[in-house]
Amino acid sequence: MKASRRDFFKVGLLGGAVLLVGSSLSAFTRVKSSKNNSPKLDFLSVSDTELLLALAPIVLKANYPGSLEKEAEQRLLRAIDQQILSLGEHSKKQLQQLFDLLGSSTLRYFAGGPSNDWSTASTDHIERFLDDWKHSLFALKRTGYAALCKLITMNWYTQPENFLQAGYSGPPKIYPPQE
Amino acid sequence: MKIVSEIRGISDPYSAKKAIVKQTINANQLEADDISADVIIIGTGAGGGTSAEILAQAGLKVLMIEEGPLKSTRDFKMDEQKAYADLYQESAGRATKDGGIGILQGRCVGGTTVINWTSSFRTPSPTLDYWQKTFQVQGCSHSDMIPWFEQMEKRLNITPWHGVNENNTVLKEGCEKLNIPWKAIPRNVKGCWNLGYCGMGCPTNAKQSMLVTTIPDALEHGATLLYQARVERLLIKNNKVTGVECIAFDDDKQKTSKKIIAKAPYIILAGGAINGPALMLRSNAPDPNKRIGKRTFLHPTVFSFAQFDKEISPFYGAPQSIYSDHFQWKNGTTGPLGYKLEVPPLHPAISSIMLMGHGNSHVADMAKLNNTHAMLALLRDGFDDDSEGASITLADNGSPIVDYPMNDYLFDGIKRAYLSMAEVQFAAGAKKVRPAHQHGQWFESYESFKKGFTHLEHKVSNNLVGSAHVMGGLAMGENKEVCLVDSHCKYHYLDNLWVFDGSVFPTSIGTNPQLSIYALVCKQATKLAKELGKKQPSSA
Repeated sequence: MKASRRDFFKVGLLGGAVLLVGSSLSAFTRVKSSKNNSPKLDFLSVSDTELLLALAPIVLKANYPGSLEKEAEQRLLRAIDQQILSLGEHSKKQLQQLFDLLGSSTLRYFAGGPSNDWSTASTDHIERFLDDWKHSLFALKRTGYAALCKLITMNWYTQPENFLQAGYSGPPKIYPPQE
Repeated sequence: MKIVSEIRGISDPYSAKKAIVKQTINANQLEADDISADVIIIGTGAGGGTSAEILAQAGLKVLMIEEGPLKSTRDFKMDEQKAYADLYQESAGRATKDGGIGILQGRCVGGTTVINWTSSFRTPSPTLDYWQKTFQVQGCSHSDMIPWFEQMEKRLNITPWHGVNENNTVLKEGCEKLNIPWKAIPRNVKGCWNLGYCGMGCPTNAKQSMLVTTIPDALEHGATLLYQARVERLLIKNNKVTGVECIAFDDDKQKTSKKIIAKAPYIILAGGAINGPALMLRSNAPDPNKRIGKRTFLHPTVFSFAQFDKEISPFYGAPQSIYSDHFQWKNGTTGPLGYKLEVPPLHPAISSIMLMGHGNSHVADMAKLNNTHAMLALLRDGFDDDSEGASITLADNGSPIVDYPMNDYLFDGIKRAYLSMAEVQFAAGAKKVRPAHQHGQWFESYESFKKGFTHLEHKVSNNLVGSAHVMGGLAMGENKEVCLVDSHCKYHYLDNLWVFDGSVFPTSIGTNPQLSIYALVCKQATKLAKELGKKQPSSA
């Protein structure tokens, strides 16, 4: 048991180092996403939103964009953004590093992602990337995969328009008392 | 079970009563920069709420300080997104350092009692015996505790629930088929509508959380509630807490520049495990054996899904009403991990996380949710040398990091728990069963499950592990090598600080902990109220 804990620690450090490099590389290029018709986002950068919007149709398949249609992208991004914003410092930093790693074309190529931009990556390539991370021997990649999927699915299925995709007919209607 | 389609005529206690409105202050709107009282209570969950009522009734001027917002009946819309954002720590995204365990914990006036699933159990006797033997906890034997359990059961209307929904019926029927003992869960509800939204704030005031019971009562007895105020540090001088430094938070949960100093001769820490120990670390509280934040326990919990031909409608009805302790104490108190079997509700967003994975299989599983049941196994951590739990450290900005290394001892318990759950689910007539694991597949019989299951690797982020119970980090007992508070929950190294919440538990409880917190705090706060009443005859 001791040996396995030590191995885990080594893998953790290695992963941490890779992510740190990623973070310092892209620190110069993080552009806040607040332009034109995109919603006001407090955490996600333009490159983060490209990643999430490339993953969403692969993670959610036929349920995306569903009845939300054109609104789907903005609703999903806004919900994810606000959730990350309320996370503790440690989790927020880890996600920042994950997004920065996957936002840098060089680093994401070595991490199994596409070398071209996420917005032009093929479905096959994104599928391969997700499967590679899901099955990885590195705890950091597995956790990264789990975190990305969680952020997307959770913030998708909280939207009332998507309840029926989960066979859920919603809560009772509340009629407040007259005061 | 009848599914309720509308709710009418429910009023909100926080807008109805004058005393409650008058003494409830948003920290942003407090004009002064200082505030004083006889007793400051930090945190308003199970521990803070219970002590506030007792101390206020004893005639002491109580000040409750809460980090989270004041959300009450009119805000509870049975909406996952709104509830997680308004009522949970880190919008329900709190997790351990390596991401291996997700943690659901409250962050609002009333704390986790506002969002728990109402299960109310007495502290198991083997747990209390173990504390006495291992940590030299005094005066908390099972017979010592009985009157306090009784008092809080009466206060919060705790009785076994019989309106069992389909999701819980699966556990009951599976146990019956296998000849495994099961029981009805006692719940703290009064006039419950059996809606199923306990985790999002009760919209009918039925749940007897601190929000609708002890806190309003304390306010009517002259207490003050300051909310959206995070205690940044305790000011400590000569073994005494001389004051409490708070920062006001705005409605978007962001820090403001407003600082408030609160002063009182007596301080009660009730911020819950994780946040309480983090505050002690930030305050450089005396801790000669470096024990603050150590032995933090989570009841790591794993899940198993089962699909049925019939409708389960796991969204509706009291979320938890049946349990089985068959596997909890089977191997004795120490030794291999024991676990309690219960059932979680399956609203879409939380289910989407628990199902794990992505793509077509995830979409197909989501589409079958109405025919899906889930079972959970709550693992009893902290009773073996191989189960030290988490330690709390601080991030650069002073927020807590929960470092819970998942070891072979834990994974051994997790593996056995999946097998038990699958056996019960198939016995109850499940068509297919799938463990909540990244690589878990659907199995069509218990035989095929047992065979196929052995190929699964159990490691960080492969298994879905959650926690809804945070305990420990400021252990109670006279054994000072590991304990920080004495058997009356007074901090060993400070003269005027008491810790009245679940962070004093030296192990996990082995069952949903709210009644354990209520009863222990009721006992300790009653004793403290008597002592302070004698010292301060003027305010009694």
